[in-house]
Parts: sequence; C-alpha cells; structure tokens
Amino acid sequence: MRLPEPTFFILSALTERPLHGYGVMLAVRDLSGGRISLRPGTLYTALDRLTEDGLLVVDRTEEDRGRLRRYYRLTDHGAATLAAEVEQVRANAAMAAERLRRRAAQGKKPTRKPALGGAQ
Amino acid sequence: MTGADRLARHYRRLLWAYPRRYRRERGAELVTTLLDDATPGQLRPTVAEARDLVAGGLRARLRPPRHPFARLVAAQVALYAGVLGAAAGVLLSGYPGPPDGAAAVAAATIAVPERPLARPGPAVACDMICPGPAGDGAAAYRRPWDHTDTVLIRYRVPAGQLSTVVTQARERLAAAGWRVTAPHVQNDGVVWFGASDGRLDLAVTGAGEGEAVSIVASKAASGRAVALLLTGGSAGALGGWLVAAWALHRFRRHRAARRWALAVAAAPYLVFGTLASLAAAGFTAASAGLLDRGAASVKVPLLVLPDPTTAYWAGPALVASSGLLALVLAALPGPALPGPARPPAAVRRVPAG
Repeated sequence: MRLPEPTFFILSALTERPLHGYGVMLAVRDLSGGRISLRPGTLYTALDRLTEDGLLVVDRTEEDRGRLRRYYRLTDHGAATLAAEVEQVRANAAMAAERLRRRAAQGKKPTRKPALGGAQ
Repeated sequence: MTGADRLARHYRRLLWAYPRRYRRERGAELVTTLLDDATPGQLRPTVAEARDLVAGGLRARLRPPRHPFARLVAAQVALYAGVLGAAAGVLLSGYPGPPDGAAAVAAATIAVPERPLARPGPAVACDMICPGPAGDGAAAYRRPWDHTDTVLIRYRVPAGQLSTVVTQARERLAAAGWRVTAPHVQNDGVVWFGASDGRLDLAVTGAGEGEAVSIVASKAASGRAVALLLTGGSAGALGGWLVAAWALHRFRRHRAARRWALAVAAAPYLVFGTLASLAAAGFTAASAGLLDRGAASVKVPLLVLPDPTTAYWAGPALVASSGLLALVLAALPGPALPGPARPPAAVRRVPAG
C-alpha cells in the first residue's frame, strides 16, 4: 500500500534522530523544498495514526515552563515501511523512465510523429 | 499577560474541537507546537490555523481506535442510530396515521365501481406485510407511533371473474391518471398490482379463496416525510458514529474487568440491534423505489421503535437497555489508567535517551 506523501516526508524526517512536533514540521518543509507545509492539526492527526500503527514511538518528553515537547522516534517497523516505500517508488520511477526513453526513441521515426504545422 | 500567553489562550480555546481525552493527553503539546510555529508578535490564531485545528479536532472525534472490530462497531452504531434518527424524522413529519377514509373509498371506487363489502376501516398489521386478501378484523390505530396506517376496502366478486375485475381495476385507475405497476401473479393464484396518484398508494389484490378483491389504501410518502427521514437518518448516523468512537476510546482505557462487563452488556444490543437496523435499512432501501411499497418504505424505520399498542416492545426495549447500559459502563470513571503525559506502552521497553 502506498504511503500518502505527507506520511512519506514525516517518516523521512525522523530517520536520523527523534524530533518534536515543530521539528517535524520544519524538517518536512525543508525536505520537500517547501512544497509540503503541514499545519499542527494535520501533523498530529498523522503522528497519532503512525504511533498507533507502531511506525513511531514517543522517545522522550521535555517540559519547560509550561511548554511541553514530545519527541517522536522512528521504530524499526517504521524504517522498514519507509524502506519498502522507497523501493516501490524507485521501481515505479525506473519503469516510467524506461518507457519514456523508449517513447523518445520511437518519436524520432517520422511515421509515428504528426507533421509539424499539418493543421495549417 | 504577555502576547504569547494571550495567543496560547486562543489556541487552547480552539482545542475544544478535540475530544476531552485528547486535550488532556496532547493539549499542552499541541499548544507548544502551535506557539513554536506562530510568527513573532502574533496575538491571534490565523484563519488557516483555526480551520486546521477544527478539522483536526473533528478527525480526532470521528476516529475510532485503529482496530477492525472497533470500526465495525462504530459502523453498526451509526447504522442503528441512523435508523432511529430516520424513525424520529418520520414521526416528526406527521406522516404516520391512516389516510382519510372517504378519500380512500373514493379512490377504490374508481378501481371497482361497486359497493364495498361491509364498512371499510383502518386495517391492521401493515408495516411490512399489508393485510392479506382475507383482511377482516378491522381495528383503529391512530397513535403517532402507529405502524398500521391503512384503510382496507373489500369487494365480493362473482366466481371466475377475479382476474377480469383486477385487470379492469388497473385499466380504470390508469385511465384516471394513476400510476400503476404491472400486475403480479403469484403461484397461489393471487394477483395484485400497485397504484399511486401521489397522495394515496393503493395495493389492489384479488384472491381466489372467497373470491374477493381487497384494496389497501395508505398515504403516499410525502416529500416532507422523505426529507425528514433522510435528515434524521444522516444526523442519527453521524451522532451514532461520534458516540461509538467516544465509547470505544473509553473501552480501550478501562481495565479488563470493566471491558468484560461492557462487552457482555453490549452483546444483546450488538446482535439484535444489528439485525433490526439491517432489516430496517435494507427494507427501506429495497422498497423505496417500488410504487406499491412507496409508503411502506417511509414507515419501515419505525420498526426499531416499540409499539405500545401491540406486544412489540420487548425487542426494542432489550436493544435500548443493552446499548444504554454499555454506554453508562463506558462513561463511569474507572481506575485511572492513563496519566496526562503517559507515553505509549511501547516506549517503556526502550531505555530512555
């Protein structure tokens, strides 16, 4: 089953070390080149689900003057899930790239290509 | 009060979108993340932040624990509550009740222009099975929860004329602008068809034994009744799902003894409630499109309600008490398992740091 893209980036963000909620938000924004920007409500929905599924665990909790930060850590199961996803995406990309390459090779044959300006 | 304090207070107010258990466990953490994410000097949540938190809260409320059985139970409760809501909507619409007797006789006279047998009257036992051809024993049921909202009109037919009379009845009604169904002939020789003029539904039946034609008239499903059925049904389903998700989260946090008690209490509800709601929802859906059962389909959800005029109360009462007892058992405070900041069980196996 394919992982949703935000999930993919959340898991990727946590591969190196445990991060707290805001840390995950920053890392996802950074890793996706600013393309994916999770808001807290959305982020925590995903974190809850991933924790319940055993892909993440709470590593530690830090409390500082009323501020409470929980750090999330990728489990082995989470890492394996991400690795499987990476394999799948890589295989899909290779397949599509190969087909595009063949299409480009075919495209050079004049018979398969409509003549330029033919409609005029 | 600093700006950050004020902003935090606004965020905490928005967290009311989340269920209480969630606020207790995760509220402080979520507010911290929101404050981390806020722009310096920000005093109020942005519209996008508010929308995100309300959506997140709704998701948290709607999400049952991630277990296939939990989702099944949530779906069952939603279905049952949906049927209950649909029944409440139908009652509210003022639909139940027999049609006007004079109007029913006038309609029947179009079909069979003769004097009816005896005195027509409200007929008995017509929630899903309408009075048979031998539907004697008339009785008046006029209460709001009435399931038996029909008027029965009977005609004697000379021997051997049965199918002719029924065929002619169908032609006369069609000529008078009624929508009629194709005639159905059963194995036992009973022949019947349905007709509707939008206000009255007729089921015209001819049966060999006794050589009689009976016309059962009921109110056609009004637009108002259908609209309230659908509104009540969807409101009930949503409410039921929310309550089920809440109860299932409570269930998960109770200790084993309470869980067992809860499961035993809920068992009759789960078994009989499922059967009743599946039957009601199935019959409603199946009969909605059929002309001759159009009115009956609006009444079907009422099956899950007790009917004090008949002995039909034990089933609904058992289902209701079992479901309510399970809810009470879920709601009663148990030995507090989770502290506000208790990490999930899995983390304790791992040395910290």
